[in-house]
Amino acid sequence: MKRAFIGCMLLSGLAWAGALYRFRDGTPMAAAQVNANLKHIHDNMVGQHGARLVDGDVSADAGIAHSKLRNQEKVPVAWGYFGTCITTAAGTDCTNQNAQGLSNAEASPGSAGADGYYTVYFSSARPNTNYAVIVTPTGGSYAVCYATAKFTTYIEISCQEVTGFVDRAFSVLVMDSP
Amino acid sequence: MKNRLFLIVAVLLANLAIGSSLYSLTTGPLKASYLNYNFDHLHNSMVGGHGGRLVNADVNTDAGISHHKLKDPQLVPKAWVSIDACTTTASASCTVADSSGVTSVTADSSGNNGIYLVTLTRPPRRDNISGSASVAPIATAWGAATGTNAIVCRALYFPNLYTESTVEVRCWNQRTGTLTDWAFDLVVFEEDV
Repeated sequence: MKRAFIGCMLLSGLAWAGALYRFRDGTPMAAAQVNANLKHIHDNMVGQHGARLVDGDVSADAGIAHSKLRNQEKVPVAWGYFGTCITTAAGTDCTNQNAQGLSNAEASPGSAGADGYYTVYFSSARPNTNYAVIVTPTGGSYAVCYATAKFTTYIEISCQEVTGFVDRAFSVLVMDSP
Repeated sequence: MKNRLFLIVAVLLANLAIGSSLYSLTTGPLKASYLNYNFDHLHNSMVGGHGGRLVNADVNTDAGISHHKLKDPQLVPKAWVSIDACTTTASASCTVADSSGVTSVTADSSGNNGIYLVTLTRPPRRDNISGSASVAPIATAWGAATGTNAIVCRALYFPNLYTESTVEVRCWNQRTGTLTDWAFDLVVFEEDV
């Protein structure tokens, strides 16, 4: 009876505090105390007992890999905004860049001095050239920007108006299978 | 009686011992320190209800966590496709380089130049209501221009009923406005519900 009372008190205490009971050598161990500790762990921990995991359980620095998501290919592999691309010289980096999965964009080496030709480099090489790339101008009027050729390590992009090729700021989004 | 209790506890905890960090209890007198150690290990290591403990290494390589369990799942595209080439033969299949969430891509049923139908794996979860579209398709042409004439590709129509799962893409010559067969890439976002 006394043990049951202690057990009940213990359980209510654990439920409130969310803490474990500390056992002491030389002190009789009650099954209720052991059960309370097991129950606390069993009822709170994640795994094989339904959908318990919530956002608060995930470390702010967890960095869960996209490969662990379902249909990971639906997560973009790269995107970038390249705000100022002036093709004054081949290989000149665009400025005002913001990108993920893309290291940089530059005036296309093969089109020195020509307006509207750019090369955007991947941070890591793609496994093949079957990726989808969405390109759109982000400044100026009447221009369109598009990928002219796809490579595993870079994308060639051009921007042009009906009157010819023009320098434009542009944004890129890349989708690919793993 | 006490020994029987110890035995039960020992066996129970021994069965719980799933990691090498647990002390392996044996029959006989049970030391409180060993029991506390094992409880502490479980309580302080396992994930659930005790703060943000989960890290990448805790997630199985094949976990396959559904996107709808992420916050703001609508930020993850629902479909994309890269088309290498399409012909003007009515309803002929385009050459798909790679895709996800797309069943097929064909020339339109009338055999027009530059009009393609991209069929999504499933229709949108809800229809498009005026001023509150549930699907956002984004398409661009890709491939070197012919001369100075850029080709423009756009997703002109998109699913507007539960039962519709086709995005229409049109490509045309920027200078002349003429519909033109061309390679294109398409990404589709959807407001998940």
